[in-house]
Amino acid sequence: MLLNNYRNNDETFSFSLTLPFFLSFFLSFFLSFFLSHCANIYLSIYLSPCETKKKADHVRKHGVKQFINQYNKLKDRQKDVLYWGDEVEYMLIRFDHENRLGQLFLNSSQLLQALQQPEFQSPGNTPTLWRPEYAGYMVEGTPGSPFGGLMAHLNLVEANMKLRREEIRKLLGPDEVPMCITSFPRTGCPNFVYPSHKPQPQSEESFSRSLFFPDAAIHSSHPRFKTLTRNIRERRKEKVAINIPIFKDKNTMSPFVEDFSEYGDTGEASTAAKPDHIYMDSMGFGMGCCCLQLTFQACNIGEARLLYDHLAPICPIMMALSAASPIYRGYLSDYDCRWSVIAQAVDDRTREERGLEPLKNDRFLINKSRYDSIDSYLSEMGRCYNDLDLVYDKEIFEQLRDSDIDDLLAQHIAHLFIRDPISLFSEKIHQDDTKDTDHFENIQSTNWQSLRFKPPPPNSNIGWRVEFRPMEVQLSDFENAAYVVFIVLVTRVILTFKLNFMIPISKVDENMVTAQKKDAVREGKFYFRKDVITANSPPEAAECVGCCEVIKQRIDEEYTLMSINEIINGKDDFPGLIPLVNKYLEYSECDVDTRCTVLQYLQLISNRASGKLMTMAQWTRKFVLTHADYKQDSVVNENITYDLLVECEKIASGEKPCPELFFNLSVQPLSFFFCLFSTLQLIYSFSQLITFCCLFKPPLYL
Amino acid sequence: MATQLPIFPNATSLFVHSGNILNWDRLKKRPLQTPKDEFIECIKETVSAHIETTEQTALQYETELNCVHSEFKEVVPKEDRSELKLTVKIFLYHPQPPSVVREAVEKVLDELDVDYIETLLLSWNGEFDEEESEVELKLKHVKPFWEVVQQLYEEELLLMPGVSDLDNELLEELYKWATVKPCINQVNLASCCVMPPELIEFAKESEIQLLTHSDPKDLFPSKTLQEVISSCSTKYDGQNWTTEWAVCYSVVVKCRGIIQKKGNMVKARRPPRQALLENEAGCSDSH
Repeated sequence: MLLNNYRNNDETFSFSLTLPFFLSFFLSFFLSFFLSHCANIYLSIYLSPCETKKKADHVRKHGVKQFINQYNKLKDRQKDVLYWGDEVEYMLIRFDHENRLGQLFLNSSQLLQALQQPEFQSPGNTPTLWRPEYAGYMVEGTPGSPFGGLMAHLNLVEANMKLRREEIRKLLGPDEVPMCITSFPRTGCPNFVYPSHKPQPQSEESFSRSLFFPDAAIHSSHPRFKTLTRNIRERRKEKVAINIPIFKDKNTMSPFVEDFSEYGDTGEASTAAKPDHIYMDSMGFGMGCCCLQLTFQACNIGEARLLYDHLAPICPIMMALSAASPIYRGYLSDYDCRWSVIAQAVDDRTREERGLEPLKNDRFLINKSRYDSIDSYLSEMGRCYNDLDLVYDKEIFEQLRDSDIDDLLAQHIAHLFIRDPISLFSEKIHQDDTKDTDHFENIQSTNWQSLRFKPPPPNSNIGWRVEFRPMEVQLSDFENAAYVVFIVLVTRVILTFKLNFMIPISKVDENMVTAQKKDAVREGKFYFRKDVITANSPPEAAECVGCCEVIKQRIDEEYTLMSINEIINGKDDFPGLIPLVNKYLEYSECDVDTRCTVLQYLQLISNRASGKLMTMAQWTRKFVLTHADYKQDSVVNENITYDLLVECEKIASGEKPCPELFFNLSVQPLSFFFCLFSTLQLIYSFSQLITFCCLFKPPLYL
Repeated sequence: MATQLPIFPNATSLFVHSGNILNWDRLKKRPLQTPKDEFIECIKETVSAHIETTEQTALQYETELNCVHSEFKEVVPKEDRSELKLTVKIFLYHPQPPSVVREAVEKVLDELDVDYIETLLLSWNGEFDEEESEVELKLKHVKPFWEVVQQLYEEELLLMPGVSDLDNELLEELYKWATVKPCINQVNLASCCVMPPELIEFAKESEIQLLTHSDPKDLFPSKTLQEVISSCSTKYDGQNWTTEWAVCYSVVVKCRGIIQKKGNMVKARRPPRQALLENEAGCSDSH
């Protein structure tokens, strides 16, 4: 009955909440495939890498047709409401207190079966949704249905995150916990997983051939993850090579060069590893990291393109502000973020494509991994700031242009389509291009960029969406909710005040590099637009056609270097994102409870930016550097890791306050009160809220 | 200094409407500005713009000054009306009669070209009773204004009536007495995390929404108004004005959380010049 209430209110929630909607609103990457084929998933066979490559042109050809058909059907969709939702990834940790061990617990297949039980029994009717992630120690949780455009919805996300954590907890043993850690400190070290497995680098059967990351740590209940691992390696014609600069301490070996022969290296590792770098050799080091993403629906394609563009320069800022991963394979690194680890971990480009050899068999010289920052803006205003030499498939571009798709969108799609598909279902090869989009999604969902522009899925009531992907996951639900809510508010501020954040996109790339460095949040200087308030940036800036030449002449005067603190909190001649959000909140109607919660979220963001509070990365570094067992040699041993994880668990569960990271949750009576609500009550209060909305209708129509 | 001649000596009433200030770039550049300063700046700019763009001789004879920022004035498009939500907050000043509520509402409806208001909020300024200084706001002060609100509600000119900054006791009294119950009580942002539990409890029981605001109670008192007018005209032009009401409004795209319009209005009056002159003459006689 409650759901009927929900559904029938055509004003606030203007479509029926059908199953595909729930499922595909947030979904990216692995999931869109997985979900539409739940039933026959175990029956399907993956094609071998060789066959996949042969089918690449087929997939691309039909993928583009599918996009064109979808585009033509949905380009005029208007007035979609705001929906948004977060995705949080969890690592399963198992403690062995007797032996002072904290390990990654390879239990996600079993756990997921239990977690997804309610969803299979009552599809579309659960408060949470669970999906597999790359590693066998990871799961991904999203809210059961997206949040809406009312202020009060901002107050629901944290409670839902708490519920998600609780759902996992209930299914685990006493010494097993879900934790939101971006990168596990000792991934790839001996015994980092439980049960323990040895890598099989020499085995023909091995998917990754990693010296450090055993195949058994890859999620196994779905073949996709192992297939991707193998296909990326085989396409590249060698193992992936990840090199992250090591943090050089007093007693760190110098130059830092490891001997990999004891791991069974036959020369590939010692050649690929760079001196003074932490070397890693498998997709698992990257895709085995957790992150925090959110997706939101725009009112039409124009708004989606606009938000995509203005959020691009925000990506590096939010990455530095959420930095949480300073340790890799048991060593302190000079980076605070996971980004370039993942970028290198899934880099399937061949030597030719990377420019190491002249192009002979391959088609393009490609400047970035499949996982990296975006290369072009999509809105008309963005055109002037597209200064990267975009690699794109000319034929596909022409095909899109012939179908009346504008050049900016056409080059974006043609750019995504320079990639080969890296996994395929055998029975999904022949599709109806007017109805299916699987081939398009295949390419789209294996382009893991900082932002994703998402066309409406077929046969759904979902509109054009943008996915925001650069943030690292935070330890507690409070922090994760704060980051998510902040971005949702920033999108509202951009639209309300008609802000413009665009700078040349090459500068955004430079910022991405800066953002990952140690302590970038305090010390980094980022290119940012001096004047974000522009009178002439209407959503559909068609007027701007031809004005590019004018803009380009003074483009370098439009931006300057700023610190994160200045960008977030403002300075003399720059308003700052937090003050702008506050101004927006001042103009909006917000209930006291939500306002109190949001106030604290913004305080967290503001204090992290100003340096009053530490990022997770800074705090982790400090913890290691001051640990009695640390020998100033960059090594994070099992003992330190155990203490670190125990401490993290205490902080995340609220057992121990950590004023260096965030203020004590127990002093927030109101939002705490909200957390006590059970899910049903939440849905109930939701429906009341919606009934309340009915009151806003003109009396004559009541 | 040369004597400044009054610019609009015959004006006895003044109406100012800022238009949509979301298009005022200067305001957005200073998001830290307080709501009061922002309101002052809006009114000042709008009056200045009116003086600059109106012919001087015409102003001399003007009795009713109507300063609407034409560059920023926007009406609510009829076709989008059902997706929008209009909230109007009226700041009341002692000793203005309750009829100002209706006057303000009608003016807003007219300016924005709409038929109804979703939310109407009333805010009473500091002092309420001439005999006692700094007396607390009591039900007897609120009643006559609320009666007007009830009539407007009956006439379907507003959907949700509300109040601002009422304490629990007064809110409860008003709730019990009123036939059209208040739906909203606004509280100051500063207290949103430290709400009295009894107010929360009562609001919950009586389905009153507790919303936050960050407006000062004395948003635009007569003294401020006079200073603002003088600063953009002459000292004489600024004299003797009394604020009748001030209004802040916002138009929100309901399901998208986007603010489409935000604007301020003020209505003021002063006695005719003749009366003032006679009064002044009388004064000087007595010396």
